[in-house]
Amino acid sequence: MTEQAYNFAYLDEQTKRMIRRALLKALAIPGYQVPFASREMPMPYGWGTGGVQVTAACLMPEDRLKVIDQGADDTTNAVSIRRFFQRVAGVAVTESTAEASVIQTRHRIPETALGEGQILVYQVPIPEPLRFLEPRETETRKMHELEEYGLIHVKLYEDIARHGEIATAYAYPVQVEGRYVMDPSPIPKFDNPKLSGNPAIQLFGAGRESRIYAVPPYSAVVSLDFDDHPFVASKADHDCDLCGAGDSYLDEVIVDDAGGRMFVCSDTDFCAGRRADGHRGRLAPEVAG
Amino acid sequence: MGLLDRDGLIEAEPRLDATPRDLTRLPLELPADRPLRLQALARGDEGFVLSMAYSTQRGYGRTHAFVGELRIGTVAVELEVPELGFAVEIGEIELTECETVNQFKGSKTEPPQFTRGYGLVLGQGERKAIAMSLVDRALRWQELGEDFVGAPAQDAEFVLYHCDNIQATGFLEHIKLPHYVDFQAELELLRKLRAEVLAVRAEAAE
Repeated sequence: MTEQAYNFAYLDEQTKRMIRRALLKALAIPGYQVPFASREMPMPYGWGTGGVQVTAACLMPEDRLKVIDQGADDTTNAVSIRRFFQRVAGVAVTESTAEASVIQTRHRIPETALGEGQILVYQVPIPEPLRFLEPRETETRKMHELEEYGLIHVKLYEDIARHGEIATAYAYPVQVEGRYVMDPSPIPKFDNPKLSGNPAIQLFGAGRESRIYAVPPYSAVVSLDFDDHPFVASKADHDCDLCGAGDSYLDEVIVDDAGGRMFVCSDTDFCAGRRADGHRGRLAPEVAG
Repeated sequence: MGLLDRDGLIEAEPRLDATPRDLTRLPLELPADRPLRLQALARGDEGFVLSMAYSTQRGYGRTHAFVGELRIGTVAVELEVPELGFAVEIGEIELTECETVNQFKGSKTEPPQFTRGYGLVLGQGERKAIAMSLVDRALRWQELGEDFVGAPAQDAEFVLYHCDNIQATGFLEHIKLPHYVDFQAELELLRKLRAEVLAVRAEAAE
């Protein structure tokens, strides 16, 4: 199969136009889930079909694409999607957050602050923040229409009553521009503060659920909480064992059969950049020469 | 079926000239009309549709169906290429069609009549075609003035959102992908919650 057998970025122009209309509507109504005519993609549902369609609709030939899964560029889903766009769009790719014009992500927001002109595309499994409180789409849409968010506050309150704090660690619900409650995709709540006031355009694509939503640049995004139980963006209480960073989200890696472990940045580009700048963590290998 | 129809013993099939909403081109929205429901069921997983149909036979929403029509044939397949603007015939495909004759219930305006359930599936698939027609009939409870008894097969939202095998398979198998970032978040939370509980217990023990 030759690359020329595909339209630029795989989707036909009518489909891209349809997705762009949905994206514009989503940007005009921050946090509102816009139904869109999701297409079948050459990858399984649940593996980023929504993100891929949004990226395909945004890509221009001069773009530079970065794709991450769990913060890393070398994870299987990220590698597959990056190769897909190299093949069907021929765009340049990069692992550098700062150099990318479009970043597609699963489960993380990069540590490096994003800038104006960058687009962050999230892969979303369940776009409805109220879904596990009310399984019916017909009901949850009504609740959004009426701004009836009592149920989710009751859930957070019950968490506090039972556990002493809000027992949600990822996909932590947010309210966008004081109106729509939104699922930020399964990012750790550590990443939630980066949603707010971000200069980049943040787009969310849920392919299987046929929904697109967005956070326009510099929007106010508030993580739901209570005055006496304020939201806390938490992470493992360690520094990165490779680059020594104390302010990045960490993965815990088991390193031997005795349960020994090390903590490393989940954002591989951020960690590699710090090490290149000479930062060293507890277990960083000595530099040769 | 034609004879039943001629004698008025079965509900008339109203002719709809409007182009139905295309499930492959527009998102599923509820309430879904019958053409949309039938598209979803035709694309639905055979095992799922079969179980839904079977549940109505056993009593979760009753549909006792007689097979009125069950046939297998081939139809032409045309592909409309958006960039070309016209349709190209690319081959033939085998289909199985089923129409069932179901229980009747009259109303103030309608004397008792048989009702219809319809199934149309790709390939030679009598089992799925019959199952689909039972589920189609079960989903028609509202327009036929029946009660919603809470049976899964009557619940359009439940049936339509969960019958697509490709969606279900993809979403199920995506849990093979790495999830260590969100797992780590839960791990930290769980450790914290446990530490708080254990600290309180230790305090109480002293």
